[in-house]
Amino acid sequence: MKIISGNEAVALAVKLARVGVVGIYPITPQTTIIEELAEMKAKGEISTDVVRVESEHSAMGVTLGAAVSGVRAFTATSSQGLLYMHEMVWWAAGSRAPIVMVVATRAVGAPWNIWNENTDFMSERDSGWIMAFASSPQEALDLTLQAFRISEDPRVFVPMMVGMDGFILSHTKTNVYIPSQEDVDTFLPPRRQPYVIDPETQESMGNIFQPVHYMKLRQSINEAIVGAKDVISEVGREYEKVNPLADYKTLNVEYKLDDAEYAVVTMGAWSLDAMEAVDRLRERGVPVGLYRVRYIRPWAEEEIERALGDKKGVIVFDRATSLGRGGPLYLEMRASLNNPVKGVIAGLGGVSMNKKDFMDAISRSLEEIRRGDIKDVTWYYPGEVKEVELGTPRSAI
Amino acid sequence: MESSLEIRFHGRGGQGVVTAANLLAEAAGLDGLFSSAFPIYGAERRGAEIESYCRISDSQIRETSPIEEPDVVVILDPTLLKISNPVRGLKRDGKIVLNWKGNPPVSGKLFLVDATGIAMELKLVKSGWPLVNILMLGALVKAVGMPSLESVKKAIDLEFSGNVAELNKRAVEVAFENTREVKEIVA
Repeated sequence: MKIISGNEAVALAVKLARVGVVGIYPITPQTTIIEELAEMKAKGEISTDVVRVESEHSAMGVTLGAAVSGVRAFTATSSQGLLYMHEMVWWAAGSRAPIVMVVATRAVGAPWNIWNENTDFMSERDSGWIMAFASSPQEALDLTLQAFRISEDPRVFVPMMVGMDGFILSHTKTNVYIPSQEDVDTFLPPRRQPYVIDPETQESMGNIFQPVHYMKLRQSINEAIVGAKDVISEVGREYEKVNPLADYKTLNVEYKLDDAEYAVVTMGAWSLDAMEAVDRLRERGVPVGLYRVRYIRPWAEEEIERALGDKKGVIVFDRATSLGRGGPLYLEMRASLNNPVKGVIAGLGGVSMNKKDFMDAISRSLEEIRRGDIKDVTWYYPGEVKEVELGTPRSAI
Repeated sequence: MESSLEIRFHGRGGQGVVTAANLLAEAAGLDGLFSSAFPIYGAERRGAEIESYCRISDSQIRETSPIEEPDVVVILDPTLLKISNPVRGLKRDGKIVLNWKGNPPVSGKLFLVDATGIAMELKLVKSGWPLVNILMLGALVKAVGMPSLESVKKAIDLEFSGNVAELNKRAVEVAFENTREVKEIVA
């Protein structure tokens, strides 16, 4: 065990995976990942080519170029950087190029805000990547290592991004088990990929595709993502040899759900604060459990139905928005479940949610479910700021 | 959590408030404990009020939110007592570890150390600022009895080298020796 931050943990995972090329461009709160990698390079601890570019668009360009030429490649970004990279994120998926990217999440402007929120990450869910989200620096390291193996599996051959809460995970120093290089080398086979672009051969990529071929390619990505569920579980079981303390057999994680009548659904770091809230509510006799979504893509429909299908009510917390429709997790859960689902949006732009705030928000939501009168998605403000008067630019005139 | 300690650090931007919490977490880790350390990030600038947090426990730490009801507050800059309320939310039996010389300025379970004086005497000064952040950990160890001084010094060696490391290790020892507990309640 070492006391390190989420960003340091990710940089160590990149080192352990013997990555060949990283395309880097700084943005808070991801920057210390690439700083750490640059420092490792300067000290001669890694032989990775660290390629500094002028934008995130180019960072993914370099990473994609390296990946299709046959090299294990990585990049990291956040917020505005991810949005600026957006076009290349889709090129990477369409190219079926195994790539790993870490997103240290952060709110999106305008207005400027550097603090945590997951909307940047969640807004890539239609891009064709495998998408996992960590709840601790340990999981950020574990998922980054697993991402190389999942993405490079011939049954998948789709890039994978790993999200982690900006600052709350990226900058919190805590106990992390660091696997040995030997164990990682055994776990991670030499790189595999569907094709290699080489000046010596006649292959090329990115040409125009006729309609039916284009549609078939999109369908192949869809099938690869759905089919990745088995690969993820398999890799998760295999990973126990790398980190014996880990449990990645399932895509998502259950907590005290077996005898629960109601369930709370969360993703990311605040899941652990919510677990504290669940424990306290249980002490008061409230039969509630928690379901933590670790994978957004693939979406673990069967796991979710099994875990939550028989609950009297499900409360979904989103730290992200799909403005006009609530939160993306809420929408996904409603599409998978037939039982009552209550949506709560909280913690945007760095608003902190502690265990007491969760207890309060869960209790209020349970009242609605028990009354059989579920209101529209709640925008929850913790502490004293319960009610917020919303002004619009027009109402100020 | 079976047995745990929540510590909040108060100081000013540039004083090493974040580093203090990080080193404490590392020292606790070296003692075989679970720990987590993080600050509130904002638009950091020199001289602005800064808070950082450290949780130590003998079991896995799950909470990620800022510490609102600390067991201990460590105050690097005593002028903060006048402009804000660094002891807010302190538990009933909570301890205050304060950089202070002379008669105690607040009531409570106080542990006073003249950190500024020690730093000046040891020439632990950077850009005219006495570096009190790490040596306050010596006072904290005196106040709560953990982590071990040995681990604090090891943590210093992991983060720093040369003269900075040596001076800070000595400063931690001097601070530990010179921290006095104020037992009576003083208004």
